[in-house]
Amino acid sequence: MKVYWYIMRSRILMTMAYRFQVISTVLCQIVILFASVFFWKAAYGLEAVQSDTTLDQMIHYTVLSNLLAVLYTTFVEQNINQNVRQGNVAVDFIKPINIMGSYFAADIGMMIGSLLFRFIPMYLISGLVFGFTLPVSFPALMLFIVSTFLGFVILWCICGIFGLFSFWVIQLGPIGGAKDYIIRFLSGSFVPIWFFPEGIQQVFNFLPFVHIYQTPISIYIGKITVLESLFPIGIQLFWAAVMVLCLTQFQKVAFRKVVVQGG
Amino acid sequence: MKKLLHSIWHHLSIVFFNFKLTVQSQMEYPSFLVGWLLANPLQFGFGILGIFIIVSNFGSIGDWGFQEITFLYGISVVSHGLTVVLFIQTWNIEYSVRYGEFDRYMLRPLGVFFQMITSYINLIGLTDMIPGLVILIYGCVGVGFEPTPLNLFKLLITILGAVLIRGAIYLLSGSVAFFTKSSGALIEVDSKLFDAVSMYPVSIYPKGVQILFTYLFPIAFISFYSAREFLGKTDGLPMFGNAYLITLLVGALVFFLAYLFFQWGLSRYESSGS
Amino acid sequence: MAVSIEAKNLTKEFIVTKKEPGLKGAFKNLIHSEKSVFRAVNKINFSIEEGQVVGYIGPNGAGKSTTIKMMSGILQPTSGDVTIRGGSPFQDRKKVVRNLGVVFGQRTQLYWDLRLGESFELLRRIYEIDDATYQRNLGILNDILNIQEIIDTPVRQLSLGQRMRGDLAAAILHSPPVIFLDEPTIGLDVDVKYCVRQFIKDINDQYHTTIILTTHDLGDIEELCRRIIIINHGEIVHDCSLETLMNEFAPNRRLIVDLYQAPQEPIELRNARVISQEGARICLEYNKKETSTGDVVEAIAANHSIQDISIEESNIEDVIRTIYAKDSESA
Repeated sequence: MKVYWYIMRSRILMTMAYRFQVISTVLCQIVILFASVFFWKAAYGLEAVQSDTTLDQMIHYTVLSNLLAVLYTTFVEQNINQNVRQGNVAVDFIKPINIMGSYFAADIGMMIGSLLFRFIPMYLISGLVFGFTLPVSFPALMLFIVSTFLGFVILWCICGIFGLFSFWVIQLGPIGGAKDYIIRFLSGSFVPIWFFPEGIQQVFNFLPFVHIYQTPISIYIGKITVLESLFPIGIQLFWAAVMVLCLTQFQKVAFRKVVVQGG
Repeated sequence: MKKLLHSIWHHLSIVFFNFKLTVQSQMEYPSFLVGWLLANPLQFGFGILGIFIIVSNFGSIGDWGFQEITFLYGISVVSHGLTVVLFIQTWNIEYSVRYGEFDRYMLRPLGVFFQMITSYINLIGLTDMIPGLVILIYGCVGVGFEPTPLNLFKLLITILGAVLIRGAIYLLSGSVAFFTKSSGALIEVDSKLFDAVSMYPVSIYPKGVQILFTYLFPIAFISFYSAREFLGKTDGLPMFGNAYLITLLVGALVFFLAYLFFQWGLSRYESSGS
Repeated sequence: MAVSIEAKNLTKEFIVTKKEPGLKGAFKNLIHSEKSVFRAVNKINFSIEEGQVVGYIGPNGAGKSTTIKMMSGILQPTSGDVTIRGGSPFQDRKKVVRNLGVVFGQRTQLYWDLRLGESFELLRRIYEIDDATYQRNLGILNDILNIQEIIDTPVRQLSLGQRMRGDLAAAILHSPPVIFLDEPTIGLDVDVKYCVRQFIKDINDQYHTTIILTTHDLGDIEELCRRIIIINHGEIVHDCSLETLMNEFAPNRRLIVDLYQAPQEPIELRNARVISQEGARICLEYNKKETSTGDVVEAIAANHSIQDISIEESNIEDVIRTIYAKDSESA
């Protein structure tokens, strides 16, 4: 356990090693955040548009989505890819720790670092400009935290599974980007699924992606009530379990390949 | 005169040879090409699809309908693609500063900037052009753009100006590394800014933001002013003269300034990592 | 002899940022980090004539590479001047580097992803080398460095020794009259080292090329350089011939004498000092300028019968180590 703690701590340190890097990534996300808020404002226009969602809700949705994006940075894919490419996988096998566990610890460390140095400044800046985004109730906040964590697990597993493909295709390169674009679109991180045609919504609600962004945000802003949220959280749980299972199984297959062929 | 011609020919021969070498080395990683061919259309396709879904819910974004935005978006993506083909090396300045890669350029009897830019002409950037052109052509058809020679010329000049603006700002940001060793993710900030300001009409932003991106960091010229002129719209800041010409002029000016900044930075190069 | 390279009060300062360790330090660095000025090269002066081979040596971090980089136009001097054949490598970079060939042993100037031959072709275009010269130079290089054997291999697949051969070849394709070699033999095996030394000798002999060589391998110096410049803490501490240096710092020679019979009493000589005496073996030391070996041998032979003698010249490495150590003490 100590090892994982150490990995986590070193990753937190890493997030602030470069002052410039910290500032510029915050800036990056702020730009996207501002752009999308003004985009929504323009879409709603001056006169009240008929919609189930109010402009205020939509602004908070956008702000939160961008805040979550900072927390949801995963390096598992790069880590696996890099280790495979440099032939370090064999070395990893010798270490008396769970490799995936160490990657997870590193990314959690990253998340904590991001919370301190990216999330909080961004929350303050956007709050001062657009008004602070507060949870609708205390239970909603608690459920939001649970839901966010489950969302992170789902996302992390998808990235991990993706990273394991490195064992077959040495260079993942831009295909990783393609995966990100798909996840971002299907998760409702920019355009919530409820604006999509009815039929598509039905399908998307049962896919894992919406439960990465849209579900936790909807709970936080009160788009769905605490009671209503139990069902999507159930689906989240289901997907998180499925993903963890897939990842561990796939990991075994991938690692067996190394044992057979050598690192 | 003869000397000048000789110099131009000399430089061109190096550009051609570098181009040949770059294509050769890019062909060594065919999986990358496939990856980009997959990723880039997805990125811009989803971008425009998102806008489509919103517009079909709300009718318009500001004053702009879906086709109009597509036209604007198309100019933006095409100019992005060309920038990535021609000026991708500006993204590597930080790396080159940190690992002393400029040594090699400085040891050769040619301009450092020239060598840097031409040593990697990124054909893969053309994969951005494919979705870009598709979206632009769709937009052109949608808004009833008449493909007269004059209009096409104006469009071309606009895109040229836009490429210069993008290239200049990347160059400016990259050159910061000469002074700070690390330019952080400034290049990424630029990309995000370019997207935010050139893929949506600038008029959706508050006036202060519009002024900032028109007069200080002239990113709004990448697509907005020319597209507005083509479409006969009047929202946003007033502008005199022909937007496409101003775009080119602004592009040339900021590029020149960025070049000076690069040269200044280069004189402080420390060739670290000995 | 024409002056090829001249440095006047050449100085380079760097600004170094201190990073504090630990979590607390990381927070501190986030807000403010301390800066200090480090003078890597401090007012150095030298002048090198055409056709000289000069060894430029000093411990790690002494300022060798910084000097080389200033001379090749990569770094701008903080103050002072350096000229290569009358031109300033920084103000007149393009013109000056045309006359320069530079090799950094630690970092290749070749193009990683390309075949070696393609790097050459590119250089040929950059320097506008005409066909005849190009073919001739390639021929010569092939004789010395056996380039043909590796010309079709991508640079990233070359071994260190092969890569160094490629780098050396690339540096002189355009027949520069001045060459800087920054640790050209680092990490090379004996064969390649020999090859590199031979190359340097040949180039210097045939083209009268001025060569500055930094190295930690004193074998390089012994074999190639008639003049050495020693730099430490950014300042030149010695600039003289190897011989002068050896005479100054290692004036003594050692003689080991084996006698047929171990002498009963300790030996004492007028012209040499006895260092040790174990059984029949005696070790002597004497100033090689003042005393001839013959005299010493004669003095011993007068009372003892000699079975065997051997002479130990003082080692250049010991000398250099003495100089570095002495200099660190005073610093």
